Amino acid sequence: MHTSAQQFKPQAHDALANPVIRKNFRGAMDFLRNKRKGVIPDDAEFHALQKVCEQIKQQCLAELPELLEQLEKNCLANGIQVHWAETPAEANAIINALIDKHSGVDVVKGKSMVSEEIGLNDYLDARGKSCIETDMGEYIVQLAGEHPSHIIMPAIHKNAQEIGQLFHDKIEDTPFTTDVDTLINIGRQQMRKRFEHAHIGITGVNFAVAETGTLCLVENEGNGRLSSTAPPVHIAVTGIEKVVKYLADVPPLLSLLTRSATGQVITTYFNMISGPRKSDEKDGPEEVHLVLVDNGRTQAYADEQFRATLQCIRCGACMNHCPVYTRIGGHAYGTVYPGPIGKIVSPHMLGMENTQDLPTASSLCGACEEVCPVNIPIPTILQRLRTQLNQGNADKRTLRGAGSARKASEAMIWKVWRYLCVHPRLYRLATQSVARLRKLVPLVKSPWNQGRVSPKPAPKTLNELLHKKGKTNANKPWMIV
Amino acid sequence: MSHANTSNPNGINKARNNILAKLRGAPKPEHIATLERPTHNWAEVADPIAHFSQIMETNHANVYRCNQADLPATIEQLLAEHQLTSTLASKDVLTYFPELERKIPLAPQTDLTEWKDQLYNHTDACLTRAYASIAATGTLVLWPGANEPRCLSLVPPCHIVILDTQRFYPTLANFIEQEKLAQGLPTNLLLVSGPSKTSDIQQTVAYGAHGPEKLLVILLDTE
Amino acid sequence: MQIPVRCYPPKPDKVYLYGTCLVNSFAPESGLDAITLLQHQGIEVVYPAGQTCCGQPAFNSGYTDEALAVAKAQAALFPEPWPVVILSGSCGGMMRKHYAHLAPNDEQLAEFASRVYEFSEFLLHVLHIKLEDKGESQQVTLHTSCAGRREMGIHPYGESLLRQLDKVELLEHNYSTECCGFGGTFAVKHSDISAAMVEDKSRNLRESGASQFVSTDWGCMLNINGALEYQQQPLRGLHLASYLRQRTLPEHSPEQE
Ligand code: SF4
Repeated sequence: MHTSAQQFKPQAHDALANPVIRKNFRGAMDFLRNKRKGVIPDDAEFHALQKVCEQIKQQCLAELPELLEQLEKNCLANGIQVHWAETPAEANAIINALIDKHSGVDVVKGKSMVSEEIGLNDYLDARGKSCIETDMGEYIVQLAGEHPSHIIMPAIHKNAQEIGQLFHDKIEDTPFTTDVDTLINIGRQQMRKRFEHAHIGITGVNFAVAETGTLCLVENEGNGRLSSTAPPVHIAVTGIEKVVKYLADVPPLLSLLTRSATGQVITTYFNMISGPRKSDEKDGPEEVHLVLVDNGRTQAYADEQFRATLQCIRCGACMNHCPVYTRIGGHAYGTVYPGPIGKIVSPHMLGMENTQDLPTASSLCGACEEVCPVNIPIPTILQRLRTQLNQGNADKRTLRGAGSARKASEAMIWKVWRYLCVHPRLYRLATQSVARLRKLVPLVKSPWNQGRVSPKPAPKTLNELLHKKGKTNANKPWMIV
Repeated sequence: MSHANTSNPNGINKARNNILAKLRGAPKPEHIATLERPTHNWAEVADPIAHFSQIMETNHANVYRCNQADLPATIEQLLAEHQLTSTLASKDVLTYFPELERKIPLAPQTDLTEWKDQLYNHTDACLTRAYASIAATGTLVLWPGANEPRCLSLVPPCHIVILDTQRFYPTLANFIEQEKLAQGLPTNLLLVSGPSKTSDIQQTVAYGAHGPEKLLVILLDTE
Repeated sequence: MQIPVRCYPPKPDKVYLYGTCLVNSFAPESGLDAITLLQHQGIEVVYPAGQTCCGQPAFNSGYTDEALAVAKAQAALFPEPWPVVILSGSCGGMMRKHYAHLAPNDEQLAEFASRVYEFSEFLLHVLHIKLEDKGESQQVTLHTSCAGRREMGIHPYGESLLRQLDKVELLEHNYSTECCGFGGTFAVKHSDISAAMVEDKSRNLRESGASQFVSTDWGCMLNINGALEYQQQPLRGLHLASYLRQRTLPEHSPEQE
């Protein structure tokens, strides 16, 4: 199943009508919310650490060009080669060229959302290279010919039954089972040989430390360690916003990342890579490469408010707490990053013209902002994106595809609304007239009427009632002015 | 400045320069709060060893404790308990505890490519040392190197690790600061907080996803 | 974002009432009930007749110029330094939080916003009201709007007020912190999703077992009551002001005033 952001509405519609999706996501979101709560029992501690993490990310972003140069310098000094890509095509070409240079065909990949973002698997597939996903969740979605529906739990949309069936159908000599230990063991066995013989390992990066030239990877399974350790060449691919200034920035960010993401005080593995193997080491990659990807991030960076989008540490808490994501799941968004973070980051990556329905698909309830470990004001950013979506003034269209959702009729409605709201007499006349026509309300049908009856205006407005009572009331100390 | 030599070095430099130029062209924030980098402990831990052990066990690791004299017996006991027959120990371990070689043979001292099959397909367990430990999160710090290949703690289904109880730090922040890690890190520094696991199938935890299914931690009281 | 801690003024003699556009058109009795409750605390209530809308609908739809023009027109109607009591957590959040986004350097807007108090907040923290329950035993549940909860932090206030009522038992409902699906134009632009949200919300409210639900926001209630009516369920929501007035001043119903 391949979805696209342009088809958001029909995809959301289909997802809502699918009881399995509804049930799987509700269950999974409840689980993740409770897990998080279990390790964030104390609001005060969370807010204090959230403030620290927000400030760290803000400072690192403020110095981003300098930090990227410092990261590059220190990586090179450590023997890590650094590559830069403005676009997905450039990033793919760099990785493909590295694979070719090492005559590699067998590629193992640890979980990397940036590699999803650039469409690396399809790119390599088309060039006859097999890139196997090794994260269990990613492996499952790859086997099913799908894409991840969650940035932390890629196969969250599937239940054990569906996965048992998938393994039975796709992996030779595999009897159907729903036993999770058995299923995981099948996955492990499938990938063992691949790790043993892979030429190239690809991973993402959670934090890139400028001060020490270190790449940090957070994971539970060990496939990230294997991908970065077993093959002779390790290629790490990441967004330019992942750089932090100091090694000391890592502990607070890591603590909130894992607690927000999976409700763990720390993940099973935290892997800090500061170079290829030294000459006396007996294993580890001979080459380590870092590919730094822009893909629209510089556009977000150029605006002080949108820049906060880049504070994201990809914990997924915003989607776990999002009432929209909970109901429609990840695929409906048609973007690599679904949920609230997807809505604010995808317009920069894909252009507003291709993501028109995303910024409006939110009630602005603020559940995301409340749990975001780096305090990204997601609803405020969504509101700003909406102003860009329907921006009529060409000079104020700063984002790619801005103004693409502008509708003259809608703009006119708001102009009229404004006129009424600043002319109280007219407003009164209008609201009173509507009150008189209240009997007609049930006749007017709009999308609102899906599962709801329309509200009926009261026979008389408050303003009218108060006027009727007179300007002032001798006994009652209230007045209308 | 030198750059990675790939098929199209000019293109790469162009991307680099464009990205940096775009970032430099963006407005500087008017006000950024100056922040003291946090070096204090995020969570004070009263009894580090007890705390560590408790979290480790919650995370499905087995924790043993003994003194140096009892180490060989302890190892023997847990090999039997977990029915581990084909085992390898790192050179680091055997340098510190030569008496163990009779229990667990030394891993080959050649490039891993030469004994990959042995490690991947014919080894039950490996024994390594932990460099230190972080009490707050129940975390082992591994410092692989010439005498302790990375894969020993990763590839076989069981990892046995010896941790000196003198080597406890309260938190990761504290560890980084005390060890002055910002001045230099090994090629690979690892934090391990339990056996490999995944919850990728219906949020159900399963152990031994890719790394070791079992983690046996020996807390060693030295004096 | 944490909601800043707020310092409250002493009890004033006079307040402004901001009814909100929804109360004005759909639930004027909530406005009258609020006035009655305030008066019984010995407070003179001034209602500027020119008030229309806080500007939130346009703001949330991305029409900031329109929203700003309307916001300025509202602020100008409240020149005296009296507190402004507002009958919606969501409109309150618009003024308290988002007016500053509309015009960061507008002093008049900022001064106005600094005097805005959501109704339950005002009763509890400025008036320190003591409620005397005169009604029959009843089980109720409370729905706080998302803006009320996350922009104004008022969810504990409605709860405290309801707990003051001797014969009222406050029941929890599942997923009480989750959005009802209103969100202004969201309910129209993404009606599928919105409808799924309100379906769940109305079910959770019903399953609480309460015979009445109370809210501080008419936006959510238009949505939830509309869904309940569609489902032909008897449960309906009532504004907190009306509920408190009915429980404590039953003899002062708007019709008789
Ligand atoms: S936006 Fe915040 S909550 Fe969402 S993934 Fe990023 S860091 Fe996590």
